[in-house]
Amino acid sequence: MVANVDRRPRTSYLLLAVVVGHLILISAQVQAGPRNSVLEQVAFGAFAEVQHALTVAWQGVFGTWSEYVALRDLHARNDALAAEVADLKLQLQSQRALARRARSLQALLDMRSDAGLATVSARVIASGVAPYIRTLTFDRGRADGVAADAAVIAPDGVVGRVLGDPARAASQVQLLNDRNAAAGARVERTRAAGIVRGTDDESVLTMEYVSTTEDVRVGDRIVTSGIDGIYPPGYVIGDVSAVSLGSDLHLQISVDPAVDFARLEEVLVVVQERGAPALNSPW
Amino acid sequence: MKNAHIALALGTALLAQTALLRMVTAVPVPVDLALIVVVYVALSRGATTAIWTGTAAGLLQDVLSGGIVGPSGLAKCLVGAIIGLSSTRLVVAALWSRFAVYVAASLLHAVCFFGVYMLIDTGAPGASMVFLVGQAVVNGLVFVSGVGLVHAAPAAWRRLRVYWSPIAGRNWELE
Repeated sequence: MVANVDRRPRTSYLLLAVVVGHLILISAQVQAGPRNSVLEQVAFGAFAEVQHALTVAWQGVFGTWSEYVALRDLHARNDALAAEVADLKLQLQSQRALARRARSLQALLDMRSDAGLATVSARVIASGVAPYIRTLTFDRGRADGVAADAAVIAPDGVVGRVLGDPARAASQVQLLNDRNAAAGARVERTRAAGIVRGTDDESVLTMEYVSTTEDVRVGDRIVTSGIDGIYPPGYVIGDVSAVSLGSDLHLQISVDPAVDFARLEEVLVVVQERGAPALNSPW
Repeated sequence: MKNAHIALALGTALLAQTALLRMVTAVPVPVDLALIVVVYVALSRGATTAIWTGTAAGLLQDVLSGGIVGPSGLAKCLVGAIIGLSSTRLVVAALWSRFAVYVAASLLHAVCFFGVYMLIDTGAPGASMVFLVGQAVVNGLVFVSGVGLVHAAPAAWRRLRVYWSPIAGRNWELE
């Protein structure tokens, strides 16, 4: 009992000291802006290495199971994949024809040829550690040429950007559906420009600053505009799922993201090559 | 529960939440395993240890999530302190009371976390009310089943050892 009486004030002092310490730490960052300190980089790098090892180990175990044990419907899957490959080959030919036509048109218009994006493929090794901040960790970092703010794209569309300085062999990516993420965007059909942001609901994006005079319809495709200097222009963000008049002079547009952020596995990280044109140059 | 056990539990919780849950579940599970460890420590070891555990867990989450360092540390430290201090007045032997304590702790954590962001008036992370309530319920369920496992493990281990013992199942006659 005596011990309890003695301990209670000590706990209160400890709590007070820790709370004050936290408040000083937070206010220092609010004034100076959040920094990607060496400590954070080292902690993130070390943790990412463990996450990577765990992911590889898990995939090894799971791969052994799927390759040697669960072979029951392999034949059916093989047939389905063969059919899919044939279909994709057809699509590829069609796309190549379109690309050739686009290149010739571009030459006719005397526009400079698109240098193409330098990218590295990356694999998801972990999801975000804080439940309210939507991030993913990928297995590519400084050693692979990944830099802060590099755009991350998937076959379906835009994923997000590299958050802060990456570690040697891992980087953290802020997903486009995070509340604090944003990207310059356009309505593909009408070229109306705006900004796409994340919302509280992780399956919905919102497009802001589009004037009420613009023609935007449900189903319109939203693509990146490149105006932010992070995302290359013309990449798919999603489709308009709802449009209404906002409280001010702007439309309230909900966008259904093209990427299923919960099922992402492989992505491409845009690596800016030395001497390459800026990502936001118009084409 | 020794300090080394707490550190191990925290590390395991963070790794499981980030690297394992994504691979074993088809849909994202709104769970905060680090908070589960903090509440467990608060109920079993009291406020002082819970304050340190909450601070360590929260700061680690802040550092690894790339945002402002502190809000999660402050929220978890406060939750640890409040649950730890009130644990002497709470009877949490029954499953439903553990569940209720954890749901309350989870909501309290959300209030503290978002409260800090509102105070500093910078871009707050997003989470809908449905997500927060869902997370509180899932956390409660994970907590109850996790604590059940932790409590049942020693007895199960003893039974297993007896079962596999070389002298098990034999009839011994004393001369």
